[in-house]
Amino acid sequence: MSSTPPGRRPGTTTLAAGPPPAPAEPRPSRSYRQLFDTRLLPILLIAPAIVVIGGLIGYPVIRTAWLSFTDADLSSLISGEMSFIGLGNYVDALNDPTLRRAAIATVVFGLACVVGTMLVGIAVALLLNRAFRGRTLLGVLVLLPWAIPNVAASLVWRWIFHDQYGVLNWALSSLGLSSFDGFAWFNNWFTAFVVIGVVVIWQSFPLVSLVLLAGLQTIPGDVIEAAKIDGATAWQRTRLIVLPMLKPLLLVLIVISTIWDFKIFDQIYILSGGGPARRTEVLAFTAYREAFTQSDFGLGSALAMILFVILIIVTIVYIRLIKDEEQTR
Amino acid sequence: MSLATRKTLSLLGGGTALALVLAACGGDDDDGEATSPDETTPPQEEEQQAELSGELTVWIMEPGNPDVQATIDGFGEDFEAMHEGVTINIDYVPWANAHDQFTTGIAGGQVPDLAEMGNTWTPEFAEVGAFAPVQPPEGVEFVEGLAQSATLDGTTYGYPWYAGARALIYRTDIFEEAGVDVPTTWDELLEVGDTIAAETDVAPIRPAGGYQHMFQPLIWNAGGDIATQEGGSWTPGFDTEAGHEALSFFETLWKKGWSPEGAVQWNSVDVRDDFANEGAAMMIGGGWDLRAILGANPDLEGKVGTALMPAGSAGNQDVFAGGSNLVVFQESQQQELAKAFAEFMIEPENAKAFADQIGFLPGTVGGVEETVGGDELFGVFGDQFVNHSRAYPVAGWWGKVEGNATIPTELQRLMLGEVTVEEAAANIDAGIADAIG
Repeated sequence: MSSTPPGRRPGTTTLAAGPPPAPAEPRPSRSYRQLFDTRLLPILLIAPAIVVIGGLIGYPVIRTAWLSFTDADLSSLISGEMSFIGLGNYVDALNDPTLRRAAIATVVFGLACVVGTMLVGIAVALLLNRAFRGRTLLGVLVLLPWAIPNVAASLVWRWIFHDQYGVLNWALSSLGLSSFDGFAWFNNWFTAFVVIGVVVIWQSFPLVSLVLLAGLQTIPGDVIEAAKIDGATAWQRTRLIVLPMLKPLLLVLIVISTIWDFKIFDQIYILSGGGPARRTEVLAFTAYREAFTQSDFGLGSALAMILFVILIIVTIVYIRLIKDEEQTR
Repeated sequence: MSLATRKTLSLLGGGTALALVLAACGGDDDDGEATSPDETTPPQEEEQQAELSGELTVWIMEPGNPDVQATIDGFGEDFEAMHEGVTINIDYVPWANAHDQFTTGIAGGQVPDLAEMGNTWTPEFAEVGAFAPVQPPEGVEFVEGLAQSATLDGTTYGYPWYAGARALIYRTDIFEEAGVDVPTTWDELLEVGDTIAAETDVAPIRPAGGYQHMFQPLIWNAGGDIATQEGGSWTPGFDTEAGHEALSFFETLWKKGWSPEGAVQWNSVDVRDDFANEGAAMMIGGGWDLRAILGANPDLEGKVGTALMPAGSAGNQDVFAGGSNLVVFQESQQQELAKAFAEFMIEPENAKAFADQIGFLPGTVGGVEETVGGDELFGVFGDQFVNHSRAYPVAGWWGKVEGNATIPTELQRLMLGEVTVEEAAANIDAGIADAIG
């Protein structure tokens, strides 16, 4: 209480005769502390996070970007020698029909999965938002696919779709669809992608549903009541009131789903192995294949960077959309 | 890849793993300091006993069977008991992940001292200097099909541990029902197949697109080679008369319609499961397959027979000699200890105990004879291995051809009718040439 703040009054009194910068002199301890508090402490506090993020994300990204401009191979791992080859790997990636196809498949298949995931996710969220018997049970069941590891789930689905012993072909042919007897789902790139898509959507919709369900429950009941009184049909209420109110959530979910679905690996590795004849490969899988089975770390890194750039572009587009949305509000 | 991925892959890999397996070793060109020409006496052991100490990290392919794992762990314990001050740490690596794990291990400088290495991968890693040269014990006759596979440019990089060769496995009851004899040539195989298809309700044999070790040796049987080496350069060999013949024979088998459409994607395990489910009268498989089949379907006990691979148009009936070496890493600080433990593991008694347990064979002629000699069913695999097996091209690039599935991919396209025999042959050669670089 009685203690004099070091620097204020004593400063002005004892050093009254001094030159103008004098007031700073008696407060060094305070200003260092201030400096520490405002500048250094925050840095120290976030340093561990920066080190971890920089080490686990920053360094690998930069290293991958660097490798993508080199001809690094297995011998480089031992000797450390590699040559800078400029855009050579990127030119190869764009000229090779298999790699180009993988890039296109990544985008087309990825977007299809996003659309599928969102549609199923929204439908299930709307369903769970209604009161009915067994709703809790259904809610738990819906979450299950999300809780199963990708590889385990993919193995189970592979058995389901097995051409000879799969339960699906058995069920379909028992229903009289004899063309499904021994139907080889993975012989054709389209049906193979359909199966992979089903598994991806099956695993990713629960999160979408869960988040949207939480969002739905924040929509005030009186808004819906008012719409009902005005004679809006259920479809109109969903399309004109519920979905617009959930739009920010939907956009975020779309961004997350896109990032997930553009880099799927496990499901393809297990279900089709990229076949038939490498036609169900997507960039994440192809990058792995080039880097680890061909020991062409340069080309593998280039493919990873292409995927990285595609994802950045898509994400920027979405973020723009979200910002526009916020501005129009 | 996540831990969960690894674990699950190892489950699925148990069978696939063994099917992927390959073998090892040169031993014909070493002039080491081995003290005893007697192959039953482990050389050097007594001399080294006093000096050995330290910790050894060993990577072994996960055998997918706790009993086998216990046998391997036992080798480590026995060796520790023999040498005070030695600690052996054995880690198990799933086959499906092993190639990646070796690559990342080398990249990160985190390699084991000693490791089991599939023999088709050995040249790939040896070529970049990952392994230390070794001298397998003298006075031991290694199976010739293996002898070249770990010797790159005259230097041996692996101790042969175990290997195996595929032969014809068939159903004696079905053959009896159809009234046919065991085929010894391709032509007879087609004839017998037609009869079985007409007389029984079992498929004769199931050609499969993802079973490369069934298809690839056909080019040898037709008198050709996957690639030939002249001087320092390799030339791919599928776009040749023999290569076309091998592809045509496979196409003929496929077009018989004996396999379901889905067999385009089947691998060796699918073929084996199908045989175990009594879907086919014949398959090409190894002793490990036969064990798995009899284990899965004991009803087949007494109803299966084995025979040498039917000979192709050139009269050749070679198959691929696949197995594992034990390799010592160049970066290891414990190379002497690693070599001593490897030599302990390949001692005839130990190698036999292990190989026999997994349905494979030790890499020595004497060991094979001891393991399956005279066995009506499994003896054939020994004969096939010792007398009619060889290695895939011993070169660093072969790993790329395997890793890229160059040959199965074209085979699948041939089965789907997307390419002709000539186009498939040309594409395979282009893929091989690309890998050679």
